[in-house]
Amino acid sequence: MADDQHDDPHDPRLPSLIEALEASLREDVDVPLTDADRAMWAWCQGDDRSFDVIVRTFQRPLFCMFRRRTGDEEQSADLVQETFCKILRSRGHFRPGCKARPWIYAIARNLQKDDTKKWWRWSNIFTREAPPSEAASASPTPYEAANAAEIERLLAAMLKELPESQRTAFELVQLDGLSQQEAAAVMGNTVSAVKSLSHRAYCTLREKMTRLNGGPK
Amino acid sequence: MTDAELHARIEAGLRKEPRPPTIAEVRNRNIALVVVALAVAIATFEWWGGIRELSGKTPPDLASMHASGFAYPRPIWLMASTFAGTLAVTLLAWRVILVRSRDALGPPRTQLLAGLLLAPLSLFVWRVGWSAFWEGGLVWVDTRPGLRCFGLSLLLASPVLLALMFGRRGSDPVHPGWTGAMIGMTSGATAALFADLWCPVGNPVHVLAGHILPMVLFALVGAVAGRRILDLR
Repeated sequence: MADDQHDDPHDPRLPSLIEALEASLREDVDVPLTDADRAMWAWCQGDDRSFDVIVRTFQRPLFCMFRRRTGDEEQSADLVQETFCKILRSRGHFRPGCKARPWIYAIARNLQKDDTKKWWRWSNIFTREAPPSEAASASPTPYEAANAAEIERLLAAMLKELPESQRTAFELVQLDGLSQQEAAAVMGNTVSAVKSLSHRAYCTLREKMTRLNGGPK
Repeated sequence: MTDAELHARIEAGLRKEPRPPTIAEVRNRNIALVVVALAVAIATFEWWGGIRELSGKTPPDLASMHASGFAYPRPIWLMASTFAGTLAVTLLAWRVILVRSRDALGPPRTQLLAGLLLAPLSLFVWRVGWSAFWEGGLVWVDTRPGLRCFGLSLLLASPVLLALMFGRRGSDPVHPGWTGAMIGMTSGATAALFADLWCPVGNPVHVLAGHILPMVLFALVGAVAGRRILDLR
């Protein structure tokens, strides 16, 4: 991180960063079938109107996921659009009775991986402004909004330093809200592997934050 | 960006897309492709010679086979039981590629890997092991090194591989290479089914070269092709 203030062991923002990390942890629950799953089944079998339910359900979570990784709203909107176009083209390959979310997130993740390989994206990654915080309150004060945005930027920067597999597992489970089983399906891995990767990511992040805060190495 | 703006952006992109086929349309198309592929394979098999032992045709190298100690033709019970064992393995391979996980993301990688390892191994063990029960079943025949069986397997597996790849193109967002490899292995196993009916030789080297090697080759081809054709990106 470029900001000199982050070397200050008494930076008052750092405890909030650890709190943000702890707050992001959630118990793993197997999400039951939702209206979006049923809409997906109906759409795959020919009910074209049901696709709108799928779009409205997943557009915001996908947009937030892309924005967290790219830091750019326009690029994120393009990726969301492309994701739904790919979902549309793949209608005949989905299976009724299956959950929609892991499938959709797998497609989105592939798109995002391909997008980061495009060289012209790299020139903008380190100069983008911090995205607005998802956790910001309805009417934040200027101080609250700036603080939340800064914490999100710090967390995003730390996540970028993790190995890809750990970062993906942590983001899918803790930030994107997938269950461990769904995340395992998206990553093509076992549930125990996802659990282990996610936990290692958490430990690494916590250690980095504690070290920055002047704690034991 | 508000939800309305985002939704409008998405709708603008979707409007340019043609209407995609439904699950039933894709399924019917895939069934038709597989039926055509199997029909082509059966026609190719008949052109190659078919089941000579049942039709009474004699192979051109009959004298060489008898000189090696190979008692041609095989008894019906041996042909039928060998075919049944190969059929069981082939059907299991088809099941691996057809049955999806509950998340519509294809079978888990461990299942695909198990299929890739167990299919050729079990076919080899079955073919050689079962032939060992028949006197002279494992003898080496000089005129049967396995090249013709290899060629027959390539001819028979190709239409099946093409049909399965074309039918499943753009369907796997997680591990298209592994899925492609298993599709290749399944195509090879299907070809081995016909090759078992045509070829009476159970010698281990012959079986490896003429019946198992094509399966492995098609698995490799399937893995490479799968990454490009099956990948949902």
